[in-house]
Amino acid sequence: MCNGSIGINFTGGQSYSSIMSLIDEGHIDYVELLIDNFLHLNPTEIAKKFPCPVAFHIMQSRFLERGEEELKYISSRITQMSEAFQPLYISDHIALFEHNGTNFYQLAEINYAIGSIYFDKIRRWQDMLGHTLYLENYPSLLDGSYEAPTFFEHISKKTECNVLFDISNAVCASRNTGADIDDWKNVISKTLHYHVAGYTPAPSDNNILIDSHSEQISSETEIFIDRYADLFFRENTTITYERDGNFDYDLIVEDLNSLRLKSKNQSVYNEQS
Amino acid sequence: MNNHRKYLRDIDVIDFMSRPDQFSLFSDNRRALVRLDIAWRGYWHALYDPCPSLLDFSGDQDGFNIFRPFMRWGSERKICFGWPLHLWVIIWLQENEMLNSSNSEIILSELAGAAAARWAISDRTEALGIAIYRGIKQNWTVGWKCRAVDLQREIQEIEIGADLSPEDDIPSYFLIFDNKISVFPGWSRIL
Ligand SMILES: [Fe+2]
Repeated sequence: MCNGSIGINFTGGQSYSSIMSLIDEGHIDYVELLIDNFLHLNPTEIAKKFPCPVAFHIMQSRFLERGEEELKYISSRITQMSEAFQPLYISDHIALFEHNGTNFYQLAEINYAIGSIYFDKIRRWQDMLGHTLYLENYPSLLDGSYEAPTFFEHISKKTECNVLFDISNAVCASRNTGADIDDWKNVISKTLHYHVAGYTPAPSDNNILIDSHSEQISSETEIFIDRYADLFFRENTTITYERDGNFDYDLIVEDLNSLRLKSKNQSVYNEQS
Repeated sequence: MNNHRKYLRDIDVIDFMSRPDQFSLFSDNRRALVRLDIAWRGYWHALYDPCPSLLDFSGDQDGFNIFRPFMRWGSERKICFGWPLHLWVIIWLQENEMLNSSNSEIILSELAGAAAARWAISDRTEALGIAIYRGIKQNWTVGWKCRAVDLQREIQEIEIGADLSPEDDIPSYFLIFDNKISVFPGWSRIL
């Protein structure tokens, strides 16, 4: 892997043949597996189907809420997978999946103002995985966005985990609330792993953006990537393009090509200077 | 930090995400209303996206004839709105005597299939499949997690040679820890 490797997310069988084509045609360097969708499968069998570098993303560990025994089982399976694959990174969501016993179908943002109460659970989960944990920032709709950058910087110091910085989530949060997107600069410079995707206006208000993974990367996100290109495309960084809806192969290739061009331009710039 | 207007986080609206009758508490905050609307739509899509016949059956375009009273009933009953969501809809339809011989077959089939599918993508135990009793004697819905990384989950309906219905005849399930159903461990109640 080199500077600014480009990957794509893989969540299940429906996109397998397209992902294989993206690999064969050289559009992507690695695949980010939504690993907890496949915990019941044999790691060796999965590895045969992905003859390329992989990263792990976890969706439903629910490590803030789930009991010890269940987390032990999930982490033991992820550890076995990790031994088979040596993933580029292991990332997870820090979010609320339920409240007072009621499940959400849209994750809710944690309360950063009481952030320290999460530290022990983050440490415990990271210890169970036996691997540095990269936690993803949330596409805020409400004012948690103002506190998020400081919280993510803080947990890195307190728990030795790192941040999977989702570029378009930060763009959504900033657009939705007015929070300064440049507050993320320290986080961006301290991690090596990034996500990017398209977003969609909320059904009841076009001015509010939802992280939908079903559109092209927005021009605003492109501008933000260009502004911090020296950080996003430095040595050993990865950018995973997330696409879950409107899975149009040609449009995906367009976005991947655009990311690749940015990566190459930055390499050329680095060589010249 | 923005100190010039009322500061509102997700955690401040979280108690109301499945309670549209309470949304007006936030009528002075546009973004809070949009946030609640998104949460509420999450439940709507979870309910109706895999069940077009249920939407037809509700008799209105928005499906609110079923959605609103069901959600209110579910909140009062403190159901978890997890994978058994659609099995609770069966119970709600039965309690309200809304099923009859002409509509029940397709609706029960869709609802149990939706529950099995949601289980198959969200369960994180070592189980490989789930069998669901949906209220049809000797015919079960069975859901399997994907059998390989390049395959999708499978939902089947299978004929059973004997009447193994749960005693109280309400939607129930058991988990399968093998590639096929080789034992009948008895039914579990949904929570
Ligand atoms: Fe992401």
